[in-house]
Amino acid sequence: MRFDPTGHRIAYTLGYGDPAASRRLRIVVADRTGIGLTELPGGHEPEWSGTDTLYARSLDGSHADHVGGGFTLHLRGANDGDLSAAAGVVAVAADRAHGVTVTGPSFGQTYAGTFEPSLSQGHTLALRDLASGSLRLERLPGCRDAAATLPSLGPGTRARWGSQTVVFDTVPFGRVLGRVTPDQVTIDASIPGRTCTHPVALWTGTVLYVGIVLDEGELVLAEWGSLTRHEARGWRVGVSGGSAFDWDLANSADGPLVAWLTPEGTLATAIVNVSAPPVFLGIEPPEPPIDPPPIDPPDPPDPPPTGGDDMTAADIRRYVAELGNDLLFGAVQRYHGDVLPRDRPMDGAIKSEAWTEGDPDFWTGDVTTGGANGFFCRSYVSEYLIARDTGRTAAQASGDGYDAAIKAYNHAVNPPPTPPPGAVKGPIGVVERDFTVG
Amino acid sequence: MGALHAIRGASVLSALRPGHDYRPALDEVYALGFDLVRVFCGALPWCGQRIEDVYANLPTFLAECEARGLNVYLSFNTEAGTGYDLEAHVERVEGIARNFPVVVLREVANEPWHDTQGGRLDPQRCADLATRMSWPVGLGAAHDDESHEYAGGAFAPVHLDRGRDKWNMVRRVREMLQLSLDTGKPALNQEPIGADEQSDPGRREADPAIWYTMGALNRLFVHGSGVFHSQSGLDAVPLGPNQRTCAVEYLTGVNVWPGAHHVQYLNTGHTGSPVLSADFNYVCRVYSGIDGNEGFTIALGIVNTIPDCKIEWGNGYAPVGVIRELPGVTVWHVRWNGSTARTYTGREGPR
Repeated sequence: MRFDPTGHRIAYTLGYGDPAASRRLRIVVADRTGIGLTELPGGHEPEWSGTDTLYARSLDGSHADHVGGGFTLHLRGANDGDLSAAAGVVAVAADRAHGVTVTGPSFGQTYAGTFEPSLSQGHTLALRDLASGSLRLERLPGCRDAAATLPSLGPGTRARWGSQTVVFDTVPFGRVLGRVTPDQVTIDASIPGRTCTHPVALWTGTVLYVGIVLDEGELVLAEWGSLTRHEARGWRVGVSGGSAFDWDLANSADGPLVAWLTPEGTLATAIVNVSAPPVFLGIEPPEPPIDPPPIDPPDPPDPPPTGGDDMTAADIRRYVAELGNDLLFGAVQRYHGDVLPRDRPMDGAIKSEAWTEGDPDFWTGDVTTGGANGFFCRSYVSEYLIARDTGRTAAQASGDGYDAAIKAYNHAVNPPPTPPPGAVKGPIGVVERDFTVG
Repeated sequence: MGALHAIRGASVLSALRPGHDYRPALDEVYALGFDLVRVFCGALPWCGQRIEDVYANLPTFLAECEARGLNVYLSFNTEAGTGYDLEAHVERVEGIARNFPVVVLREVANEPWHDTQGGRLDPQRCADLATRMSWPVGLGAAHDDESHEYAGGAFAPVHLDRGRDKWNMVRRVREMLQLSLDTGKPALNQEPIGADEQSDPGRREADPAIWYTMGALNRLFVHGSGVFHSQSGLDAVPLGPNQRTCAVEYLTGVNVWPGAHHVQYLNTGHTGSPVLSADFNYVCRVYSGIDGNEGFTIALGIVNTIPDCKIEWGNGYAPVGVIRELPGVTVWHVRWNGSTARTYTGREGPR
């Protein structure tokens, strides 16, 4: 996906999100708002060599040329990331063992043992050494960019240019590095504490921005100077991801324009409001320690219960009554939680007394005291209010409330049978921080 | 890799003591919805359990668990200070356990640092003994619930500190997330303060709301795995009425969000959190777990009323319903309205 040099058009591959059986990839040229202008045959990673000329990797490794809608599309066979085009020049590694071949209006040159070319508008070529995996910069004939005093960029991949600024992913992934111009030192443009990938640079004429994908799909924009100071501040753009993810930046009168492929493979665009203050993008500091001191150390293994005084008849009667009430309480409570939807905090609803219009004589003495009677009443109130919300009359809602409360009691008195024992789940495994089964 | 699994365990710790009928306890544990029991396999002088009783009773116990579809978590060594041969004991118990697929978790020792272990079970010694056992094996819970000292096994058993007031006690389940992140292993909340018929601060807790909260925080921070501990469970007898209520609430809390997958933990004020701020003079903590476009927010240790907590919702999230409300704790179902970029920091790790 690339904006053309004017920033007014964008070319991208449509169809990555389609089902495999019916997938039909095509290259789409759209205006900056995402409105399609024309569709061209399918290819990967289209790049502009001029305002009306595109190069892209062909789907089957063949070479072909197409014209449509006022645009010319040249499809060339190359591996992922092995084709780049800019300002009338195209660089292709048709065979990685052979290397990158660069073709310009008046020159042609091959860089043996290289791949992943990336061309700047000023004709500096970034490419990757097949043997070492390191990126380096090469000046092409007629290069207008500043000359690099240290051509090597170190181990990296996915180099992208924005004007004279080159940014790239480190290998292994996780950080983004860049040079503001080829003759400057390489700096770390990462957000501290975050996994940073897929950098894109944008020079607006006054401000240099870098777009970065954080962690697993958060798109952010940050100002170059802020990144060099490791302030971890910038602007959030959106969230995306997926294997076909791609994105690009362009300048606009309203601010930086961002275009990206959604997980569904469609084009999304957004203007970033950089007039708003940048927000913190780093990792939150840990919670301050506010623990009060323990009131008691952990206890040793518990001794067995010792015998006490014999229970009196009164004790036994009280115990049986409390036991029955507790069991009923638990059963009604479970039924209430399982069956009756609760769409509001009950305490507030009870205090509102709105439910009393259905039955002013309804006994509510136990509503706030807990126990089985409490849940009977709360079941009534809950169901009453829900019924009223659905348009039932006060009288109808009162009946609904009674029905719900009585069901709760019946459920407690006649609980469903215990289900038969289930199958043992095992063996249990451990994968990283998870227990697993099966 | 199999499916993610939330361990719903319950203590039946002294089931193997001589002459004890543990079957009613197993029946109840199963009927309530637990799927695993934790049992002590070493000497327990306080209840008359000798290692010979373990060898005699363990096969029948495992068969009874198997008949009920219950998994078993064996804690091999207790009170090693009584002087038994550790290697011989581990091999004897392991020899029995290997015949029963229901034994799915093993622990070298219960609180290996405890004085009753006689100083015989330092971390290296536990690691050596673990090599004689089928995995996954945890070495044992450290003295400090944030310590990595005994985290050298396949998972990190944790005995949550029972100190502090009850809300500040239970909210520290969060520290288990940190332990898991630091070690890269599951943390298992296996012996927190025990439920009982009456509270005994620092030792037993009888408030069902605390047990609901314990379950919900287990789901938020350690993916739902844990062992419900209780006084009746220590004695391997059916739960007392209040303990039973606590057990039901605990499992209700674990079920606050379906599945055993990771939800994105966000504290109040974290970037992207559904809760921007709250008045912590009136609420102990307000934590959120986000799962895609929705999730849940739990306010625990509510002193007075919800309005007093001054919970400020934001980042495109708002409550769409109350999942559970008990004295001192409320859980909301929250949903993202698409108005703001869902952007999180503080991610759990590179996964």
